[in-house]
Amino acid sequence: MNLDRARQLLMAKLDGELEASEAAELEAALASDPSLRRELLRLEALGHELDRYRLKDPADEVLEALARSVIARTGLHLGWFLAGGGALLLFAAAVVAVLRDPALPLVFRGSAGGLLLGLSLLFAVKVRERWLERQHDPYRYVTR
Amino acid sequence: MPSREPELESSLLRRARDGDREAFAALVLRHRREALQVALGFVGDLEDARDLTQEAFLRALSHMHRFDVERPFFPWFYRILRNLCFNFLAKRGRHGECPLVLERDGGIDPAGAGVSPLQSLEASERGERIWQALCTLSPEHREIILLRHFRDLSYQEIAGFLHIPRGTVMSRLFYARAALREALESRLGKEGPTLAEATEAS
Repeated sequence: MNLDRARQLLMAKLDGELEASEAAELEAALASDPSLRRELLRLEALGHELDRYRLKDPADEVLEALARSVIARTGLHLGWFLAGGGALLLFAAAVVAVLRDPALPLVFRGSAGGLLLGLSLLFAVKVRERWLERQHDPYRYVTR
Repeated sequence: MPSREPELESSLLRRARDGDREAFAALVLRHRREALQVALGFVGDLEDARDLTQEAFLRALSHMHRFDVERPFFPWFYRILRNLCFNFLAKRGRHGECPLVLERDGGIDPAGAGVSPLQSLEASERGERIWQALCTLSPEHREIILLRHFRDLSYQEIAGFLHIPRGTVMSRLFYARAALREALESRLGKEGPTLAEATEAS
């Protein structure tokens, strides 16, 4: 039996998840490998230590407040989505209309162009910042 | 884990998907405790955990049309919540810090009752060391220890929650426990007996 398989079976034994066919396989490995037996004892000690603790229960008031605020926000969610999307579309349409209207003074068209360029730059800088942060992110290999 | 009354849950899910806010509220009430505990286990701070849990419920609602209502809700919801928590932690960039033990409503509590104040203090200190050691683990290792030891999930349930095979659950548990033991022994080594001695003595 290879080491990875032996370690998997050790876990199953510790957690009471060993199947009948696996039990015989593990017994044979334990009988022939003293380091595996030591590993089992060490992990058992850890298991006993962890078994003495549990995660605290959140207080009832906290749970009540959580439920209330989730339920209250269900309507807000759609409202924000529609308002945000509408505002973005309106802004984009206004900027395009100003840029394309030759009758407007150059200062308006220049300002609208500058605003659009500035917002695009801010967006690009933010994306770059996120990308750089991601290089040092301990969670980057976590499967999402 | 909340897998009780699957028929009722699937009826609530169907109604919530069709826009029934009362059915959604009932789902929130059924799963809020487990959800908040999961978020607390990941991010430590109660306020942050509450915000993330709220956001996860709202995202679940807005994606309900994609969900197969005949399947249990919580494993699907868990993935939404864990992804939010991982994104939050990545943004916060403070992997390894552990504010949870400082919170009255968070952290690990000694499971036993009827112990002397001294024993209780020792148990709390040991609990704090365990929690601090857990926080030094990688996110995936910390997650699998939380699911196995503090949520009592079977290998099959963990495999379903994380979308990984049973063999991967076992391997990941081995490496997570080995890392935790090492972190814990280095802490106990600095301040007291080894893990085996500490367990023996208590």
